[in-house]
Amino acid sequence: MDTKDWMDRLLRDDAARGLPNDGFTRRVLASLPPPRAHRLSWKPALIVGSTMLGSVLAMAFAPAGTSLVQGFIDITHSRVMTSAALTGLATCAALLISALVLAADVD
Amino acid sequence: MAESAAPSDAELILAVLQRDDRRAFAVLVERHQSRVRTVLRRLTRGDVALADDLAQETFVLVWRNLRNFRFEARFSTWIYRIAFNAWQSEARKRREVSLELDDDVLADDENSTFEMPDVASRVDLERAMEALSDGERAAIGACYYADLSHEEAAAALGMPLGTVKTHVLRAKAKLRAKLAPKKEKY
Repeated sequence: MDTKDWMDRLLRDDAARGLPNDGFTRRVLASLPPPRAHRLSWKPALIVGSTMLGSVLAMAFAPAGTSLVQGFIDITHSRVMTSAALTGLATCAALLISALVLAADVD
Repeated sequence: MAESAAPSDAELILAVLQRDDRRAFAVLVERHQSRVRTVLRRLTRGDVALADDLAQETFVLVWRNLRNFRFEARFSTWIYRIAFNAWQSEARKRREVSLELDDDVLADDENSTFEMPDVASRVDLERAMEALSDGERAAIGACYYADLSHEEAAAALGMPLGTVKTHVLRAKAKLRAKLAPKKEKY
């Protein structure tokens, strides 16, 4: 564009004149959708809830005196059907569910 | 201690996307509102109320679609594209808008040279622009008021590059023809 042209300068000067805000920004913000408060509150509740549910199930199936450490030892020795091993597997399942919930929430 | 620099558009956009930060968005609106509203005032033939309604609609659409901004173009270019679409949609509701070239011949004084007119003649510019066709006003709005290149204007307006250039030439010739006689008075 020919900047030496007076018409160019006239148009550019007119474009450069600033308009006062006059509450425009406030009106725009008032017309935006409400904040995403709900989305932030259900996520941790779901994660904690699912983990607690898994833990409760693991505890319910574990006989008294069963050790989680013993369970993992059993699993490493391919004894997965012992009560201790099942407790360890249930705990792992609970952690896996929590991880999946977190991964699903990533945008 | 040196004052920290104002955050860039990109930093503010990321703040909006990551934290739903409305203060950051307010800064973006504050930064771009003047130009966007001026462009829309010219496009709507000086209808201030309609222009501000369209500008408000534009920024709400910017908020809703911010995730689609790819940082490949200037943020302002992206905003103007949304503003032009809002104006075209509104114009279609009211009447048939046409961005095509009309059959006007170029004014004879297209290549004539004048001195810069008196500042008072700037007041007449807005009225002179009302006489332009939709396509001519859109092209002038994009290339001068939105400060887009011809290529960016063509993309924003959805018209061929050659049409944009012709619209700009014709619009300037018409404006010269309308404003030059007024210059004589000063």
